[in-house]
Amino acid sequence: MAHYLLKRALSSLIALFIFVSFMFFVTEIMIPGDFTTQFSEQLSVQQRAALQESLGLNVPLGQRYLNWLGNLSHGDLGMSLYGSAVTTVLGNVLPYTLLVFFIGTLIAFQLGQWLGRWAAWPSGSADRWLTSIKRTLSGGMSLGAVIFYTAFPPWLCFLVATCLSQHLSMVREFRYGQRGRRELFMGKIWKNTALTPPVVMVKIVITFVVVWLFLGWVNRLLARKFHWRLSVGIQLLLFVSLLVGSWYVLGFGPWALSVMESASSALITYVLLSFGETLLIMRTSMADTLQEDYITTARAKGVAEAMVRDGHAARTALLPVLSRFIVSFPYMLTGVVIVEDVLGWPGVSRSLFNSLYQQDMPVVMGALLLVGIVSAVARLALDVVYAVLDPRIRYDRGGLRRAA
Amino acid sequence: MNLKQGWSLLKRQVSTIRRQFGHDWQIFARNRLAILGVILIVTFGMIALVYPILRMTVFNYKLYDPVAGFDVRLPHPSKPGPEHLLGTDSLGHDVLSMLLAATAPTFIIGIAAAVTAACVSSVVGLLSAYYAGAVDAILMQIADAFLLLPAPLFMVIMGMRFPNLTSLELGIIYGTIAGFGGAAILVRAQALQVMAKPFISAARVAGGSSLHIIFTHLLIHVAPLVALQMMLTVTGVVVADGFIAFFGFTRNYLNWGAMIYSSFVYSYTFQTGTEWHVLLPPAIALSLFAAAFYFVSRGLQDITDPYRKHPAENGKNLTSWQRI
Amino acid sequence: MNAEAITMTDTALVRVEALKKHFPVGGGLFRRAKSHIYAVDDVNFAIQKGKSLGLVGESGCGKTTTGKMLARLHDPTDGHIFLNDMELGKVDLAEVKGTQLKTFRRRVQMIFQDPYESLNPRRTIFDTVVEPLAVQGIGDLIEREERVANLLDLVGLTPADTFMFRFPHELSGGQRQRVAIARALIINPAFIVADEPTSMLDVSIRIGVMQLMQELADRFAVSYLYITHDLAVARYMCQDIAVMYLGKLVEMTETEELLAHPLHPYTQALISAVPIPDPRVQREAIDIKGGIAQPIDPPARCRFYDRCPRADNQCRDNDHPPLEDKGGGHMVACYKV
Repeated sequence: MAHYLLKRALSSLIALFIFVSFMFFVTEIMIPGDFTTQFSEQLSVQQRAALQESLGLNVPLGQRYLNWLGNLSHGDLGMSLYGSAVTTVLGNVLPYTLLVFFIGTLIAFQLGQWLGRWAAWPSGSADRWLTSIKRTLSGGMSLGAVIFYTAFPPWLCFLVATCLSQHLSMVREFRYGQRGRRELFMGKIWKNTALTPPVVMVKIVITFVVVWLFLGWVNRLLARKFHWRLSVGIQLLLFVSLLVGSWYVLGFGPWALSVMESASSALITYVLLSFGETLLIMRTSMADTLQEDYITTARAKGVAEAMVRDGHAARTALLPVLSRFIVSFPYMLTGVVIVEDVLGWPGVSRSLFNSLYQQDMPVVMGALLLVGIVSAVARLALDVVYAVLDPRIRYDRGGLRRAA
Repeated sequence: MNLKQGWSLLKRQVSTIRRQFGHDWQIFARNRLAILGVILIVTFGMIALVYPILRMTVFNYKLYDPVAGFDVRLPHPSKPGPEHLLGTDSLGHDVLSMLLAATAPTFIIGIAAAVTAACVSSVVGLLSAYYAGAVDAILMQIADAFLLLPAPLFMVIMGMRFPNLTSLELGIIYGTIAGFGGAAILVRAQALQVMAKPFISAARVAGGSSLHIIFTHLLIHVAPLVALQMMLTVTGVVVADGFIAFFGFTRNYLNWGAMIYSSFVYSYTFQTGTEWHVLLPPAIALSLFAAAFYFVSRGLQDITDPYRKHPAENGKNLTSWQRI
Repeated sequence: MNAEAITMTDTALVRVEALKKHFPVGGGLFRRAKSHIYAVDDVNFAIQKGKSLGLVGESGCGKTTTGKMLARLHDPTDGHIFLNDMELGKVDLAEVKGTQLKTFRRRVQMIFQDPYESLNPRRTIFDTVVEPLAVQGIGDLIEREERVANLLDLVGLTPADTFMFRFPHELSGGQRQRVAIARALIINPAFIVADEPTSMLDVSIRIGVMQLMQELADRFAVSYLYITHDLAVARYMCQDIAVMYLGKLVEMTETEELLAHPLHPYTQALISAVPIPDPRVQREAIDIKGGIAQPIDPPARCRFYDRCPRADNQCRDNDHPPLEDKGGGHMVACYKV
């Protein structure tokens, strides 16, 4: 398995390299003029040439590409044309995107597969009414999933923001049309503290993932030792209390809650956009798995119904969901970017679009590289999950693509 | 005489192929949402075809033109009424006319993207599966790189820099990205499964060339999957097209995203509050259009899916509500 | 050895010499494989015109690989496959390429094991059967249709008209295998590799398909290389039987001779495993140890050494014994015979 993962990591590095090179040439070639073009009216020809030289824009494209690659190889993304290092510019905004993308994806995935699992499972009750209620509910749930999945994202952002601002007064107003930073984190608690929002966000993401993995581990242990699993409600409760508890224990509780409050509209919108597909695929996949003989065998052995569902059926049914995830990643990332932009969440998308307007190519390239890296890392993580879930991969070196 | 015999043979072949499609159709039609998708697509298609005729004959140019129309008798924006079934927006444009006029460009971009994606994904996926080895490794490495590229985002960047791109060109760009990335990988995976079957060996023993095997054996097997990918591409490109317009990179054709965008902008600039009658129709139309193709793709999924191939053997316990 | 070295009096239709197929294990695009599976290792046999040879062995012993090399679905690692053909003369199948290979495809066909997988489910029976004619460009559409109809009649799918435009899933397993036989015969091959064509069929219809294959062999003057794990089937179908073990032929002779007087311990064990439908007959059971292994870089000793009841130091210290004539054309590869 280690061999397989090493191979995957190498392959994603190569893919990343191709992607970045492609984007470099596309952005360079397709943008008319360069950074200095926008000042061409105010500057004389000599001044402009001098500016070009000082920014390193006068060397040929190929040379610039090589320079850029050379710098990249030791982690230097170059300087923004406005003078600060690209890594600093992006370092400040990356936590914003990571928070929404990682937490949102995990929530959407978990939500989608829980609901999908539930919707596909027959009620098992002899009562006619219960059965038909369940049918209606799960049918409606699928329809809802389709609606959210195919909804036009900015429109969904608008709806979420409207609802939240009218009923919960969490988001003051829907700010489309005002391109600018949303006034975030101006509350009292952010004065007089060494904590900055990006640091808190990174901590939140780490605790989130750790608690998630821990609960998964506990669940597996319980299933293996006692053939019993925690029910969904208990899991949820445990998860939230562990998470919030860990924030307070680690000493950034109030700040973390403030961050989560500000991020809520972006998170909710992103989750709504992304959970539908997982639900739909999980549901069909579960329904197919139910036909398999080993499910009948498990029931015949007397395995508890919840265990059959979560331990036997769901494990297999998850594989197609994960393969579909790989293909969906770019679209989900786009979803994050759109949500960020529309709701004024100052993540990578903000830097990307602003720099595009200003033709600040080093920052644009850096942002695209980040998007690529996030996508590649997420895929690698998925490969690991896949390898854990699918024993075939441990023996078969063919890899994920074959299974997909 | 010979001609006649040949004709009868051809006729019988055609009727058999119809039977094969009939079989596929039965599987497809069991999925009620898929049927709904077909109905929706047909409706949208009729709108796209009929609207230009209506515009030239029935609709009063001065009142209902989606760009130049203006009704002097009413204050704008006006609520839905008998004159303007969906009301007018802040600039006095008839909402229904704009809604209808945006259908055809949406179709064009969708079809362009779908066809491009189908061609690219079949060529890449089939070559990769058939020739394996180095060809496969290189093509799949490129496909992996395309998977890192967020296609809709790339479209927004393109739309930003080239405001004059037509819907056809945008569709082709999107189709290439979608086809080379996800779709090609899925097509390859399925083609590999087919390549392992003995009937491919049999074709080889018969002396079939690589082209013969690719066209007569592989292609018909991946065709439903390619069709499925086409549908998903339409869903994706329509949303991406909406993004471009929504980010304000107005282009030389009307679309639903642009309607949503301008409704937001007008309500912000004129401080009119949310104009629900302007905002809702394009949002619903866009979602329905995207959903229609997604529904059809779910039906096609049943055909490609080997588990659901034989209803009598496998799917008999699945009720229709389970197969949405 | 090359084509000229064989005397012109050689009447064998197919002669296989020193045929080898080694599959690399591990390794990749840029790495050389560390080890190889010796799937077929130095195999020699001949098939006379109008006669059939049964290739018998456990699964994984290399019999299917041998068959696929004869049909050129695998390229041999080394060795020769001579096809002595009336029209085209004598050629080494292991070396032909391109258009020449395409021409020789007309003379050698193959029938596959699994009738559910060997017919393309999305093409009609007519499409499937006519495929060899179509790719070889023989006849026009009308002639092809007549030939297909005639052949479908011959293989027992009557009336041909009703079967021609059906799809494989509308046919039973036996009918599908008949279609596969028709596909193999449609271009009048001289030689057919039959890879366990009846093993996937119900016992009740096996005999019908086997009878059909015999009838057609006589009618079209075709020889089979009949690959099977079932000695009874081989006995019914073939004049000669060759027994294969881990990529090597261990015994080869006429069918009745082999069954009556098996000499190699492996063959003896195989035959003793076939039940005799008479409770009064007492027969000595011959047990062999263990199960079949994969021939990955096998050591230089008798391949059967690990499982052989008669093995001793001679078998361990020497290379695999050569296939030798032990009298009356009875070829055995064993030091102890």
